[in-house]
Amino acid sequence: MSNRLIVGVMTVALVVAGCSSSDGTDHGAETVTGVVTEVTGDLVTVESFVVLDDNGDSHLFTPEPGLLFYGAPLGHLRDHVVTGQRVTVTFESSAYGGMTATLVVHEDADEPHDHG
Amino acid sequence: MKRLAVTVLSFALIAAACGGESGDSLVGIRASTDPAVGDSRLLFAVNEIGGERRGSPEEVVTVVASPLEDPSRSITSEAVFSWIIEDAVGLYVADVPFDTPGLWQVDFTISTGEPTEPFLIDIQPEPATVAIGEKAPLVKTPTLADRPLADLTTDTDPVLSLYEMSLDEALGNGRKTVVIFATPAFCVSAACGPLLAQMKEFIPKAPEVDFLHVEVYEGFNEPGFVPGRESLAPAVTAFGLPTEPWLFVMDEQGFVIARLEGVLANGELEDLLGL
Repeated sequence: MSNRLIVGVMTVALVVAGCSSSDGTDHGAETVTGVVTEVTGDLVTVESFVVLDDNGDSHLFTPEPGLLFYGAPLGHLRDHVVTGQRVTVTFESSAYGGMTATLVVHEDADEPHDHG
Repeated sequence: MKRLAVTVLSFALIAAACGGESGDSLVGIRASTDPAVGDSRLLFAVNEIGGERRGSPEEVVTVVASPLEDPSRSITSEAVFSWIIEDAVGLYVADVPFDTPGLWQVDFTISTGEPTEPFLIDIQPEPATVAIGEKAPLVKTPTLADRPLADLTTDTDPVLSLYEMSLDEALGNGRKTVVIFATPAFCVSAACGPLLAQMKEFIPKAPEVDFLHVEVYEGFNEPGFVPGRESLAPAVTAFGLPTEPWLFVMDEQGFVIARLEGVLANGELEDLLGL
């Protein structure tokens, strides 16, 4: 894939990110609940992941460094790609449209578990 | 960077539904994480855009896969549905012989007639893991002769025979070998991690085959354990696993004849083991 195509794709994605229906305002903690559709990275490091919410909006997240998922590497979100079990992501958004995940839990979790 | 670009492109495809233009379309969610030239096992889920998982043996799915660089060439295959949890959650497995590297677009139709959204899959020239046809790495793995059971597995219902033989020993004894790399303790939902349970069901059915389970991380029982790159088991590194769980089947000479990720489709391991 050429660099030009990569840039083009990322531009499209950033524009599309403007369709996000997450509540809250920029720079504050927000949440999105939905199904994990994509996890990029390896066994111990996740570069990014995508959550499809109930409105049909996709949200691309970059995890904050060291973020774990119930004590396991975040790569275990791939289990949720397989099973479709929904998650809730708490994130902070930047003025440039990027979203940094700070907490990931099961949708039905009573309270936050391991965090980083 | 390339994989991130693929993620972003996939994201853009799904996000194209933004604004409701796609109505009640179903989306395909790629579950295969290490597809490469020579593979023919496409694992994917079907979801409603609203989040509900779909699929059943009655909902027949047909896929049409085409390389983006040559969309005139396409491969059509009927996918087989396999339950992960009976009558609750499952995946489709399609037989698509990916013969060229690069991005492929996968369109699919479902027998219910509902509209669907395509998804992308990035076929690598070579897999990250040991490839089919390659000699499996001869790695010594810890056994019950070395450590107590609690230090060998995080499985809450372990089968002792899975920990009696080292992988290098199994690969050199002239018998078929099935090895699964998985960390059951990290299966934090009731729904995930079915592969080990599926494999255990085959142990009594194939006494001429050696079955082994290798934990992905070492030292998981030590106080303050945090899973990381430094704690990956040597066999996991040697097999090049990008994710877990994975199941590998080796022939009597120790050559890889199958590499299966995630779940077993109905009849898949039976066919490989001649059961």
